[in-house]
Amino acid sequence: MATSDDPRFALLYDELRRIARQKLSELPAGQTLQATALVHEAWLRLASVPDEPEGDGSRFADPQHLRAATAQAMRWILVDRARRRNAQKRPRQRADLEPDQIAAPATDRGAEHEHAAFLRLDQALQELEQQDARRARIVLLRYFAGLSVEQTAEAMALSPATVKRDWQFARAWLLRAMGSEPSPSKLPEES
Amino acid sequence: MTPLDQLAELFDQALALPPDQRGRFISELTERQPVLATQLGELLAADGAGDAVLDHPPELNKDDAEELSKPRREATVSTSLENVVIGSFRVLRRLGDGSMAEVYEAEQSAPRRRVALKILRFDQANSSTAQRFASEAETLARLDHVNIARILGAGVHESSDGALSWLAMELVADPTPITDYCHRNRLDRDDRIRMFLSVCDAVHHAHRRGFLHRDLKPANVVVPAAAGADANKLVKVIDFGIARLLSKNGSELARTQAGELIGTVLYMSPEQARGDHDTLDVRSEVYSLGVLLFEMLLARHPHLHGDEAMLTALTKIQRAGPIAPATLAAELPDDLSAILARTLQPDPELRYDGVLALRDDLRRFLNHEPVHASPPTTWHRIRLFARRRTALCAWLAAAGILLATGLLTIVSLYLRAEEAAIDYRAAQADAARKAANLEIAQVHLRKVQQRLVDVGRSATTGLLQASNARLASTKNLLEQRAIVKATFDDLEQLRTTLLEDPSSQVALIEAYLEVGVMHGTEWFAPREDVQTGYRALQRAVELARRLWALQPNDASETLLLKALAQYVQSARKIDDLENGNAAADEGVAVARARLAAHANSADAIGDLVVALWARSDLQVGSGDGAQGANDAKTALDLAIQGRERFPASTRFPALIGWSHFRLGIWWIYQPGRFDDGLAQLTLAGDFALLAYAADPTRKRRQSLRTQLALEVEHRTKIDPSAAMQRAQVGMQAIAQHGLKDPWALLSWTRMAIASLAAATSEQRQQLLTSIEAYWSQIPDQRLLELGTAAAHSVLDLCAAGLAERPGMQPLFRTTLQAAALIAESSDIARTRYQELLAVVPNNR
Repeated sequence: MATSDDPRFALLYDELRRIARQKLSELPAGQTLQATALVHEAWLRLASVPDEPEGDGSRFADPQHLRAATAQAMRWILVDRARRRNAQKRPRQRADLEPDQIAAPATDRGAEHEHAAFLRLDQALQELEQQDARRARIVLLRYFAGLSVEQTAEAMALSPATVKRDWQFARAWLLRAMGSEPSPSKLPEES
Repeated sequence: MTPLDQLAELFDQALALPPDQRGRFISELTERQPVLATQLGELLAADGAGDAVLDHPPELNKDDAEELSKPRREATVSTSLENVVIGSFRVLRRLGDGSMAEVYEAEQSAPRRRVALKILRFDQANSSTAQRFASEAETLARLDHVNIARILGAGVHESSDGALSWLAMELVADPTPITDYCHRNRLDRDDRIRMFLSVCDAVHHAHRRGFLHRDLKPANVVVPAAAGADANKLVKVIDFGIARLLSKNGSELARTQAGELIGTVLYMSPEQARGDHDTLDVRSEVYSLGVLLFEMLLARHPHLHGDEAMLTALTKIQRAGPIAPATLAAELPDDLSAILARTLQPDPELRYDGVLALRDDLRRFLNHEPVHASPPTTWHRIRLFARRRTALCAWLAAAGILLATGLLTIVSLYLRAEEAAIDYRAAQADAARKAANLEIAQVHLRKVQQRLVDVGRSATTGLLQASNARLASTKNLLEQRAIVKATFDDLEQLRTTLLEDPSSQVALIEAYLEVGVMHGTEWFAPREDVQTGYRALQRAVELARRLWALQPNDASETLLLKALAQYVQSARKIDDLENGNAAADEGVAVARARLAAHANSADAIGDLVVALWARSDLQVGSGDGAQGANDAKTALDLAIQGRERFPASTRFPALIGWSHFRLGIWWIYQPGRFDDGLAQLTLAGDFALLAYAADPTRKRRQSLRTQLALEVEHRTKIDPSAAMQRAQVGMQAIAQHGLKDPWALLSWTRMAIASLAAATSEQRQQLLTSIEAYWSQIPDQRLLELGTAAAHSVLDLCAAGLAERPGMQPLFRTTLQAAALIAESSDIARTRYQELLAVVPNNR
């Protein structure tokens, strides 16, 4: 797994941010772009770094490593965004605000909820990484890189059936772990 | 197995049940394992929940673009710290952001002084990390050197923002990165170097106490802007060891600082940039210092050019080979370039082995003394020499190493080098590679005392390189043979003086193998030479056997198998059936054991196939053909299995091809089995084509032409027009890569001759004209490579009516000369020479 100890990863992270920034700014207002599409874009660009057979095996010359690392970088981007957004909303949760000041468009509240949920997902995934690296990696590749069951199976040299089983289990495990965190019901919910 | 596997298994079992039976499954489990049962219940409930966050692919929108362009850093401290007392320091004012911290100027009352106070950016500390942080900072505080900014204290400060870790450090007034300082004040070159020497002293001081800086870069080597004449005393290395302190204590660091890391990575050694933090040593810092010195002197980075993408540039640096001083910085004096090149070698082994050595060499440079990176008189002489003679210089370096280690062999080796130089004709290698070789040789030469292990290896490979260079320098076959023989003698001498370390042994074994194979390529070489080759291979086997016994691993096993296989081939040539058979059996046994231990290894299958071939060849050659055919058949079956199991491997089609080939040449000479043999040769040809298509390398191309040529030659005996068609395929495949290589042209010619039988008279004329035209393009020097290998074809060419064609004369003449040189050495050579003499027009 790519780690924060690898400075090359930091560069990859910056590169992904750059690509994302460029793609997103070209987007018409109101449109969204799947994060996984950006991950693919980044692969295409980074995988074209010339590879020589005599090379010493620089880490990203290995496409599987590049995939996982890019997915990991996207995860960081999304976590950063969720943190920022979540922090911006925080004052509204303060008890000293009047109820009518809380009233925000429903979509916003939905998004707000989503950011909090996303952070809990990241937390839960960190726990899963500690306990079960393989299943955590499957989540990383499926969710953050958008790989299909078959592609994930190929990338991890597992059978598709195993990936499918592991994914179902990991999903349930993560949802359960998220539920045990401070629940979003502490936020003002739509009644 | 992971802790979750048991739970996952229960989860799968429960899901396999109809939903109404799952409750019972859980309650049964509750009796035995209540905790697991609860978890399982919750998991099943979670599994049923739809529309979870995980079910939607994450999305980004236009607003996020703006978000992504903001600097990643968030202020660590939201409220002002001015006048706050932290530890024994009162904060005065904010100085700015460092890469890892916000920096404040603060005041200490006793002793009264101004300090730099760093508030570190990482997640709030808890008590145990705080303690560890403080104690590690304590160790760093022991660094006491005039050119190192001292650590004056560290701790954790409780504030409304949570716990903040802080570090107090000696304050540098108006700190200017050393590179900027040099350029701004237009220091002359030697002054820059003197200032850099202070930096070396500081870093060396810390190294001696066991600290690595880990983040040496201009921003961390600063000079007070107004330092003036005292600059060399005032230059300070700051943040010593802080990088490590933070990466151990702050997991969030890389995430927050990603952008800034770019600045840092440019000064990292390749090994550090790869993230091998735990194996770093002082040589990594030698590299960083080298980049720093380079920028101080030339105001540019040694490797970055233009606006290349950073990741691409870094990848290139990672993959770069050894650096030649000449290509590094043309604007600097040679000796200084050599020093810089020594610091910037991608391979740490080739760098200075410490900052002290770097410092001393720079001092020598300043004093106009010869520097070690490019040593004096003798060396300069050798260098001139080497400019013209690539491989020889590696050999001389090896010889030099031997001298320095006090081994007697040097004298004879050196003398022989001088001799070799006289008749050596410059090889064609390009200038850059020469310089790089020279550099490697040089560096090896300087490392003598510390690295005895390298010595043997360099000496051995150097010897071999020199031998190859000499081989290329002479046209005379007899001389070439003498060279190989001399190389063998040198190896024998070297063997007794070499250290017993594995890497030297591996180099020695490989050298023996090469010498052995050099003498084993021709069938009617003089018996004496074949003997030399045989003895070399015998040595290779002995040494490989011992290495394998001492260090039984994959690499030593591969080497042993290779040595055994070559030895068997050589034993076959000199009819040493007893030893040959024993070695062949040993090879098969080792390869079988290996396959048994690694049933899933494609390499293990391939190695067994090769071992079986060797035994098969020996048996066929010694008359026990039936047994030999059995081994070839077993090899074939294995290769076929291998191909089924590893369809992606490109090795197996080639292995299948060569196995068919062996069966083919055995059967084709058996009474009544010509058709079977030809069928096998056809399969061999097909697989050779297949193998080449899958893996179009030189090796596969060589197999292809050998196998197809033989097939066509036999086919034409029973079905000339089919042979002609097949020849077309083969000739096309060969011609694709041009016919400038005499060996390729030889195979091409064999096929062309074989197709003559079915050719119309017009086609025939065309083919003969082509043959002549192609051969007349091969330079004489290259014709020599063929030695007597063309003899057979020359006879055919004469028979086909090309005897008098002028374009063929050089080939005919060279082959005749080669045959004449060895005519007296064996019966078969004499017969062949007389045959040639009878048909080749001998004008001279």
